[in-house]
Amino acid sequence: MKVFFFRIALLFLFILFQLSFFDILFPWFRAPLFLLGAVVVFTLIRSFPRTLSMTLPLTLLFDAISLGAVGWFSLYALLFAYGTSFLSRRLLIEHRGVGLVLYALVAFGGALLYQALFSLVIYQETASPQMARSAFLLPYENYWVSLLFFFPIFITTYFIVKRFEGYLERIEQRRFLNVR
Amino acid sequence: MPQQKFTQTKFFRALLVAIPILFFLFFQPRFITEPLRTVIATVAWPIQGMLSTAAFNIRDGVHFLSSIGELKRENDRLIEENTHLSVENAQWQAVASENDELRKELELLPRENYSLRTAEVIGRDAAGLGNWLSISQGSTQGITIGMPVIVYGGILVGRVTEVFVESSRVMLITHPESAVSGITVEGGAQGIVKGEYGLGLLFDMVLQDATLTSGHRLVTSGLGGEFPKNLLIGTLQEPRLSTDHLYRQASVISPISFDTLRYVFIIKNSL
Repeated sequence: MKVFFFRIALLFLFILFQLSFFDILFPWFRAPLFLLGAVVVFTLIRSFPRTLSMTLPLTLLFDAISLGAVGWFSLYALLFAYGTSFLSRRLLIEHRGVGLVLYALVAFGGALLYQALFSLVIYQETASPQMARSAFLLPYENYWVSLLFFFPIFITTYFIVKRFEGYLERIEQRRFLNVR
Repeated sequence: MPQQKFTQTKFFRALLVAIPILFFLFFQPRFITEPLRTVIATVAWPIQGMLSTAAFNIRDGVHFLSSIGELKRENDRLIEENTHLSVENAQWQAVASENDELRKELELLPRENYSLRTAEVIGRDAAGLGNWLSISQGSTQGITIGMPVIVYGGILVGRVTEVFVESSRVMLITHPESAVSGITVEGGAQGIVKGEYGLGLLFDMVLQDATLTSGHRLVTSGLGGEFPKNLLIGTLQEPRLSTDHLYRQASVISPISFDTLRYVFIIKNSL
């Protein structure tokens, strides 16, 4: 039960960080970049099947808090987690050093793709290519600044989650030993 | 090596999880999401307040550092402008006192007199589809659903759509579901201002014989009673016929950037 509450608390913190910190710092970004970074981190640390127990509640809760409904982000994040897992196994990129920077780029690329899909939705709804373009084509410096800030945030998140998982594992082990 | 069964593959697991998500997407479980949202908004506002303050401070700091070179030039320009404005202000003060006296004589109420409540932005929409702001005032401070939200100078931002104990959610006028009755100051053309997915505003449903000109100012008309009269919405741009050629329409440029708002004012009631 303790482990469950810790996990839920971490997910809530991540969601609030996205809504009240990241979105205020980078208001032009139309994709939840930090949460996509968190999805990548969970996939790297927990591997795909086990990551679902963290990424699914994360994205469903985010959709529920943000839109008051289940949105497409949950589905997108699921496919993105699968893609990340597939990529990490096929390309055998280790998640340390430069590898971590590459995974941060993967998360950033995922956010850009989400933003592109968002502009497609706008095109579908408004039939205005100009409006769809303005949803996606932001000034270059906006992307650079977000990327620059995102690298340290992604790496910090990676180490926080890694420590957090280690701590929860120790709690589980202690509980197991007590039972025996 | 034994071949892995399809049901043991990651792809199958991903599919298995995608099916309930798709189910929820089409049959939205709002009876779960709405109470959950209320509970979280009630519990999370102190954390949201701390995070948003930190984010605003970092943003301001970065902005300050990046613009340090321009500050001297800007300062010189502002000093010059300030001198001009001081002179102008003195002239306007004389006009204002004269206006007050005339109003008293005619027994007119002051024009823009609202009971306002200041609120800080503590969260905003991430994916861009929602187009809302979370603000730091809620039912404890007497905020109710439907109250208009403005910024300095009476510029319309949106209206309160959800109220929690210590926070509220504001639907921006750029929200696709937002509709505000507007009128141009110069030509008196009436129509509806619709949100365009957080990307802009559209002044629509204007009769064909009305005059729409680029640069004309658009304000709330007060029709429908949702918003008080004369709140500034923006200026018109690119007047054109609607796609069905029945009405005239124009893009609206708001004088404020909805992305960078930190403080807003809630109109509790018109005095």
